[in-house]
Amino acid sequence: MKHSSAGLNDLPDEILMIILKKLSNIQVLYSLICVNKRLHAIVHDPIFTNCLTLMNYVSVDSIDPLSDRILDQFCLQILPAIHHNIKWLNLESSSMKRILLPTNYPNLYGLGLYDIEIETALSFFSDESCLTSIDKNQILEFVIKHTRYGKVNLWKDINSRILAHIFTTFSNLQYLNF
Amino acid sequence: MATTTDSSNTSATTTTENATSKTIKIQSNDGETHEIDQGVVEQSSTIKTLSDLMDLGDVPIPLPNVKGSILTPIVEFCNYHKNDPKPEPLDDDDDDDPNKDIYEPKRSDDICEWDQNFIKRFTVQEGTLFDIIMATVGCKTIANMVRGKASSEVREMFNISYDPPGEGLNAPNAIESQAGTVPTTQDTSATGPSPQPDPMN
Repeated sequence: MKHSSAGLNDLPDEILMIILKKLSNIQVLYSLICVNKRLHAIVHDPIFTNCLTLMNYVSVDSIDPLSDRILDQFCLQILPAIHHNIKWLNLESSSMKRILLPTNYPNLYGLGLYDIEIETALSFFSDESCLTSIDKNQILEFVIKHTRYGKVNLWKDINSRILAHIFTTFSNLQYLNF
Repeated sequence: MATTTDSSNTSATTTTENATSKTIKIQSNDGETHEIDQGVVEQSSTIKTLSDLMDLGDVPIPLPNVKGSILTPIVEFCNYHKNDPKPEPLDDDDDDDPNKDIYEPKRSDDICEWDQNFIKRFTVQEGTLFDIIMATVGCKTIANMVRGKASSEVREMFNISYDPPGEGLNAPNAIESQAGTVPTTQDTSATGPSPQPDPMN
């Protein structure tokens, strides 16, 4: 059979976008950044870089971190390359420091923390090392969901402390989902 | 040499009288001609626009980007799907929901069995998969092939030559130099459910 000369790189941008929109932003960035000049430029489009969900939903109530291999690629290469584009980050507890520390996020205005121990959430605000990479005054929307309370009995008290931290830290907050 | 094919509907669905009342001819870039009915015409905005604007009579609409070997399965595909229900319009009610990921990927693992068998005829190696994408379908298959692959694997899989995007800290040279640290096998966790902002809401 005579082979065609058409390849992935021959597809028009519109078709490439249709293909890429069937993947998550994380999958697009991981697989196609730096493949070649054209794909590299396409995946830098805000549609793929504005909002990143750096975790895996295993089921409706179960969240896993991304694999070490993918996280390494993001923390070492991809996030530093696109950090100016990122406006929303959804993170899970075990990998959030690893993602927030390697670079700064000057345009981040939304942050989601998922599947987090309540004490880890408290230390997130009291320690503040994670928060050095973001402009706290710029955070307008904050989501903290699937919080685990473990052996904490006084959950009302600890929730009050967390809320106090949230409103003190993110002074311009307009939306909170807790 | 031009050939004419009367493409019959292979699906089990019933063709309405309206859908078959008008037929037009389309022609591939190598002269292969197909006679298609209105149900097929409706699935191609290009052909529909042309047929609406002009009284073509017996003159076939030329399709210069499509080879005969690809046009035949396209007509077969359109014939099979011509009575499919139209996709529902997008619901804009959730536009104000701050948790709604407007970039949420559409599912690509919901290809029906007929379509899966249809697409098996086309391969990357022969380039025919890209031919069929250029013409009509296959995007989901390509998306599934890309999912979970490292950029070096994507380059190899699709035979893409590497042209460095740029210089500096963010240049891919740095990534290339660390290519050895990226395993070349597919990561199972990367093929799991697509992440979404907050599905429990």
